[in-house]
Amino acid sequence: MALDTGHCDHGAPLLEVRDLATLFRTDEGDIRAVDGFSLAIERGRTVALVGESGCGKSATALSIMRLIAAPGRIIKGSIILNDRPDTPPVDLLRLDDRAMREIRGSRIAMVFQEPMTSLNPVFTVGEQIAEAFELHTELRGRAAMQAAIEMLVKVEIGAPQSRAAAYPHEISGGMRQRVMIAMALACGPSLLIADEATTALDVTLQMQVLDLLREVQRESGMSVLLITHDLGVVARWSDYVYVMYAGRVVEHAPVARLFAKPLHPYTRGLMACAPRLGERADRLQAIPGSPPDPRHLPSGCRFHPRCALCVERARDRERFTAAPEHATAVPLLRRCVERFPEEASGAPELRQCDNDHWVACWET
Amino acid sequence: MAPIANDRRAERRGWRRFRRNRLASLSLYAFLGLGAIATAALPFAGRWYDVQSLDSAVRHTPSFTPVVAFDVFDVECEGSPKTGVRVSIARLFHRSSSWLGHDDLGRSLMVRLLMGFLVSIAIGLAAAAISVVVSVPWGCIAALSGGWIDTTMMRIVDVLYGLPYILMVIILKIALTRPLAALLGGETRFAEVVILFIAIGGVSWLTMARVVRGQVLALRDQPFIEAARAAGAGRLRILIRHVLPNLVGPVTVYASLVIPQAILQEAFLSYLGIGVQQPIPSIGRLAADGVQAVNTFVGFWWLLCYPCGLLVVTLMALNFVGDGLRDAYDPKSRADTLV
Amino acid sequence: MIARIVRRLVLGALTIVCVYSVTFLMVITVPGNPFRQGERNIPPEAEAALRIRYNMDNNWIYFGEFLRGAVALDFGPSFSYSDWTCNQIIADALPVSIMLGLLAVFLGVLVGVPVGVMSAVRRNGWFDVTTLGLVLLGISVPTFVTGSLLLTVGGVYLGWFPIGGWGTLAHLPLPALTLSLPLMAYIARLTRTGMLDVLGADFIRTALAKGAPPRTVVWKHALKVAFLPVLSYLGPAAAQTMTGSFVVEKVFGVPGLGQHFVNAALNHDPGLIMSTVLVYASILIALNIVVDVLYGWIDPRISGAV
Ligand SMILES: Nc1ncnc2c1ncn2[C@@H]1O[C@H](COP(=O)(O)OP(=O)(O)OP(=O)(O)O)[C@@H](O)[C@H]1O
Ligand code: SF4
Ligand SMILES: [Mg+2]
Repeated sequence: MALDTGHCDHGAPLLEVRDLATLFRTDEGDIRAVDGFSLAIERGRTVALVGESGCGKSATALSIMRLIAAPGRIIKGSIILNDRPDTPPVDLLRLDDRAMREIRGSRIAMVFQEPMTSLNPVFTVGEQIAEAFELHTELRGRAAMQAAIEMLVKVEIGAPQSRAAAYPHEISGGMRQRVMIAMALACGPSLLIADEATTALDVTLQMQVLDLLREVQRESGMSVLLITHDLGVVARWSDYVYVMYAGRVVEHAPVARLFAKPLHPYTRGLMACAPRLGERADRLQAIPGSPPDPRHLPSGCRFHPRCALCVERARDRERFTAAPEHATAVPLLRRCVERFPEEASGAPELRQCDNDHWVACWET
Repeated sequence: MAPIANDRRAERRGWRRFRRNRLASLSLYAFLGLGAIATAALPFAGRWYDVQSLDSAVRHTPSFTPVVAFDVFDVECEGSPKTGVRVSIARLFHRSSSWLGHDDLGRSLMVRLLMGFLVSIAIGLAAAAISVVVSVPWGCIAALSGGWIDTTMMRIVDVLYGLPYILMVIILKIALTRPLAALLGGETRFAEVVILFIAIGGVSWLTMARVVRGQVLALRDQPFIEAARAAGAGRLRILIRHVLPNLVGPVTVYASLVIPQAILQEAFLSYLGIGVQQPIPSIGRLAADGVQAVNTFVGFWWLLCYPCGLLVVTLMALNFVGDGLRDAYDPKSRADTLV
Repeated sequence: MIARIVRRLVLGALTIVCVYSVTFLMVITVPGNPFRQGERNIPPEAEAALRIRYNMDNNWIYFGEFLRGAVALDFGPSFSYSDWTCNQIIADALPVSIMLGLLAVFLGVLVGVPVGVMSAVRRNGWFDVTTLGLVLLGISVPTFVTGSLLLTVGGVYLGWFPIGGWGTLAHLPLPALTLSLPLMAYIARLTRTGMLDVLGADFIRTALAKGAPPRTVVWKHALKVAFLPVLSYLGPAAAQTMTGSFVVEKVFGVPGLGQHFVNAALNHDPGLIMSTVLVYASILIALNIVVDVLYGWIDPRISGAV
């Protein structure tokens, strides 16, 4: 298990998530939004996390920030942050609230998807950025505001003085997202989590914002966890990719390799329907069927009800079983459907197929 | 309080949520139980609520004598002596009437409370009904007409808001007493109660009219209404098929909160001496009388405690029900949060 | 902002004129004769003379004359308090009511807001359930009961407060507390609902992601938004409280304005009815404008719209 994510041989990664599980208890049953999730982020890299809507990307990001709201709970795993040479690595899940607060916003920062609602409507943009400084640095009052204005300059907002005095409803969506980024970058975090930070923006703005992020990253050497639906964004702005399905990582590889040779049937499905760069894709739909109901995840490989490869192999090798929960009763590989005692989760584990290319599928 | 969808499902879901709210459903059952008892007792209470007994044999303090609600008697049955039992509700009623004591005129407090409960509930229900009957058309017409009609109608509401409440009730009462008594054939006793209905209802519709208008305005821009309009549905059809069903939730919620308010208002009016008139009881009237009685002599505690207790229980139950309804139809207020 | 206030002032003035007209209409249509009440029974000739003297022989003239007087802040004589002008009555009673009302509103906000915030934060915990019960109790128990109770306990048994009379500071706390209990309850309830709405908002998550402690998030980020519904409620509520409550005045013997609303209506005193209504409407509208300005100041989103 521990070696699952060791895609880099030299030195410990900046952030390492191991076997994370996050559960939402609802009246209609438990939702395993994140279930046995592992990931590692190297220093200075941009790691992308892709997957269909509802596969648990936001839940993962919020788990890392420890901002999972009430019916949800992180039930196991560890999140090791190792960003400072002078401080020992810490497991975020074992910190008390106060220590976690000191990390939020200063060492790990997050930009959210909804620029309209993520800023407080009754405080000025400047006040909201300045607050980040007041929380984590010695700066107070006027000095904090001055620093906030400098941040606005840094994220390339024109007329920063007057913009700082504006309220969120007075500025455009793209500008608001820049403000969010300014706020996140204020205290020079080692890791920035951008949860679909550009999805709501139009193409040109999206490119500007991502270029800006890369610029800042190059200067400061921080790492970025880029969460998105959009494979075009992944291809252009990230170094390494994790593909997520139903709360688990199904494949991860350096970006060039993954695009050159996707191995997991799900990844291939995603690629097949990937829009060209810049086209907006709110939902990736080319894969037949829909994501599984998170309350009743399929047994065995979670992707099997939608997997073409599984059907194909079953036909070739005539090793099939009728999947009991499927009315259509398509022949499927028994291995994909059944739960095996030797696999802890019942699903195929990640295996290294190539140098630093890992995939969780029986048939590749 | 945005409507969820233009179908009955939302309503059923709301009702299910309401029933899951234990406090609210308990309150509803308690309230219905009280109502059932009071209604069952009405045939007796209606006859006895004003029967005074000034003779000194009547004990004024509450006495918790156990009630024997049946007679045991011997009868001759087919030649052999047998013991018969006769259950008597009237007996039950007469025996239990001293449980909560008597007022200064020797009237049974329990009988008056049972009667007063019904009167108060009637006032509350009437006020809610009047509010709904006036405010729903008012709000709908204003919102759907728009333009100067809307402006004028809402300005009228503003102006009526500018009138002090108590003064309005009193003036309405004075203005209506004589014509209504004439209408009811000189029966001033009940004319008074009916006037209270109208006076309290007549001032509680203002808030609801604003709510209804806001709701209709919000509905008007909903996609399904636009779709219906695009499909060529007429204004009236849209109103009846799409707008009114979606008003049921919010109007029920506000109406359920008007009931306790009206009961409380009547209590205030009773304290001022302009609520229901003697000898008709209402819970508010009894509580107000209780305050006066205890002010003269603290020994009359039961005249204050029992009516106040009933008033508080009734109002709290109604408020819990109203809150429960609001939470059930407005799931936003139950959001799960980080802090 | 200035234009907005001016606009509201003009609208307010128009509303007041409408309120006046409606009241006037009611005063002249409602049965009752200010000159014939109780034992005061004057001959018809004298009544006619008085009517002419007070411009009351012709309704149109009376309407105009009273309005003209009112604009100059002269409300003319009262008919039920024979030796008093309405101005004297109001000048006597209004300051008392305003002082008590302000105190009550202040108390209500001071207690209601924190209680509401805390019960929203610990929703469904014992604090929330207890306060919910207390809040409903505050809304359900009529003030004549709480007032009498407070007077009995604080005045008679403990002897901390005077039982009768008026004029010292010690007379203030009990009636102010009585007035403020329902206010506290409503404010706590509104704050709680508002907070629950706000605490689920995305910007709360943003604030937490910044590393702000829950205390700051609740009392700074959330409360500033959640206070808005309380503010809207405070306009009319303060107007009502500051123009006096008959019940509290009767319980504690407070010489406030509330009693005059009731007495004016019961005694059919046209001058006093119209002047108290005008005072009430003006205070209500003025407070609504103040609330409006404050609202726009707290929430810049709405300052453009009316
Ligand atoms: N507060 C919550 N209560 C119940 N279930 C939740 C909650 N938040 C998330 N979930 C469930 O967790 C699963 C993962 O949700 P998540 O928001 O992480 O998806 P996502 O991959 O970010 O999707 P999207 O691309 O739409 O943002 C979903 O099935 C969702 O239903
Ligand atoms: S394990 Fe089987 S079902 Fe899962 S992706 Fe591979 S082939 Fe498809
Ligand atoms: Mg998401």
